[in-house]
Amino acid sequence: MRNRAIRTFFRSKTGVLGACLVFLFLLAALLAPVLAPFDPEHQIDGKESQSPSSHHWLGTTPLGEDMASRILHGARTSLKVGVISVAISCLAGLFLGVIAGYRGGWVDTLIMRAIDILMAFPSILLAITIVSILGRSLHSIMIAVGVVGIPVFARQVRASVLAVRELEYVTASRALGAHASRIVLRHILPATMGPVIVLTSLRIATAILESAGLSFLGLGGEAILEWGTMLAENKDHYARLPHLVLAPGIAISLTVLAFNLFGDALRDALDPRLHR
Amino acid sequence: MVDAQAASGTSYILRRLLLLPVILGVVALSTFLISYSIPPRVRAVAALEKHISEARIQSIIRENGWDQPFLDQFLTYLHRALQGDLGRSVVNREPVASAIRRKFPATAELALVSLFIALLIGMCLGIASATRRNSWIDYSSALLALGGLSIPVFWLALIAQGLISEYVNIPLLGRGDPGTVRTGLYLLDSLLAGDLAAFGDCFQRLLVPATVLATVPMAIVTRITRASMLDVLGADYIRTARSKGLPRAAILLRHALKNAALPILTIAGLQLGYLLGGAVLTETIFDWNGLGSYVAQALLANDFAPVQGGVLVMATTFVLVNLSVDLLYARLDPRVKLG
Repeated sequence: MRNRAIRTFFRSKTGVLGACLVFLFLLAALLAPVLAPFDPEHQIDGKESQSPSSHHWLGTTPLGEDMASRILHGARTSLKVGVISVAISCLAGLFLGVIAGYRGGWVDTLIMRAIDILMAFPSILLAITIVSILGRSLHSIMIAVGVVGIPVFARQVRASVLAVRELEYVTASRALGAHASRIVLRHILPATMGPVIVLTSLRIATAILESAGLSFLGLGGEAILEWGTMLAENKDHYARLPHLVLAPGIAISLTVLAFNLFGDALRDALDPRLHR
Repeated sequence: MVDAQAASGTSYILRRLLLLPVILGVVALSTFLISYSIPPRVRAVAALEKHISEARIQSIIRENGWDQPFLDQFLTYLHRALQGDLGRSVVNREPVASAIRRKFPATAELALVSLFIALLIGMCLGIASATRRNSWIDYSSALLALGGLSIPVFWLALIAQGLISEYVNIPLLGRGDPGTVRTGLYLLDSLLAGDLAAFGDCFQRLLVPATVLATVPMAIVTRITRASMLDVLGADYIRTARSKGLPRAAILLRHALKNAALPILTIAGLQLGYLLGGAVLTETIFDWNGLGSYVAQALLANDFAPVQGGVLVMATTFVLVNLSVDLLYARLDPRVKLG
């Protein structure tokens, strides 16, 4: 089963491309301090912004900062935002989905109606509302994007739990007197893992996109090393210095594309029923 | 069997309608929390000039009821909102409700034109890729759809703006001037006034933001159309139609598309909700004087009444549009078991 999934994944060219891009992104994010040729916040000299050169691959900003180093460090921020916000969505979604699916009855109704209410907000407005309540910062953005993603996980997990709850091996375990927590941990959770892994990859893509949008609006606070913020900082210089706008945008697009391709291929490999 | 289905359909509709006030209540509560989370002192200072006396601060807090218990404040907020009073902007003292009335048509016009573009291109691409599966057109439309979902709309907006202002001579910022404003939908207003030059100007200004905003819904419509057409094209009645020797176009349009249309229309309705509620970024970049840019500007100025009011109205619209789409869907397709 596992070998077949791995084989299916590697047969997908787009999936392998996605995996390579995700790997490059992780490499950039984790090794940014080593790879970056300059300190991203060091203003090299008071001179005008420079065009891309062998010295500064992506040129420098009007403040004289090296753009390539800023993009590399931006990968760190995106990774942090992606991982933390998706961890919030995933853990909360797992918790709610398992309880709703396993307990059923009024607990299920209550949780699912709460999820319906959460889904009744357009995601960007919900995120804006949460950031306004918590105050403008990158942490607020992570929490907001995390909360926005909870319904997707909760619904998927609940569906997976419902699918295995009445299967014979689970009923047998229950008949043998196993404790509910043991049944959930040993039998129910493992069955939800496939879809959760797929969703995690696809949600990281959305989370990076959403948080870049929120930072672009200025909700992440000022002067943070984040791709959306860099776009906002440099957007007025587009006519003269297009590379300062192109670089962060391409970085966001490639990263989001990578996680989308990776997630799509994972879905095809892990869940043949969902094959498009 | 039929009765049971009808009953389950009715109970679904009933449940959705009963949930509506709860959802709107939560929407109101969360927007209320936006201003409640700001300490009264900060709000009092923001409401007036910078240097005011302590006594004045206290009196503003009392006047506005910001010293009252949470529930009292929330109920007052709800009561006022129901009467159409959404407070005033701190920056220009304009009542939020009248600003929203002025700006809502701008957002609606952008959303509707955007949805039209998304449906037009998305359906064409979806049909083309379903009928020519695994051809270059199938692959390129899949790539285009993937791009639409991966490229940040606000970046695309910046690039489009940069390129067009450099190479094409069309106005890009703002909505233009339709002459007399009647509906607030400038395309319609300029047509009603019979002013074709104004119509052309408003149309040119609308075209680029609407196309940029259309990328995400277009990607989704393309995927849904393709999947839905593939389902239908494999059905027996299509084979029958083919063996009867009907022309290809008739099969595609009269038989296949008609039956594949339901999921497409559903997704279009849901996307309209998103477009009405989520154009914050695109509106900001194109200086489009709608609800989205209103909220975004107020947010940065720490002007919370417009944020509250704007989010309240956009979220309510989103909820109502979604509900109508769902109910329409349940009505149009008796096979659908909703639950």
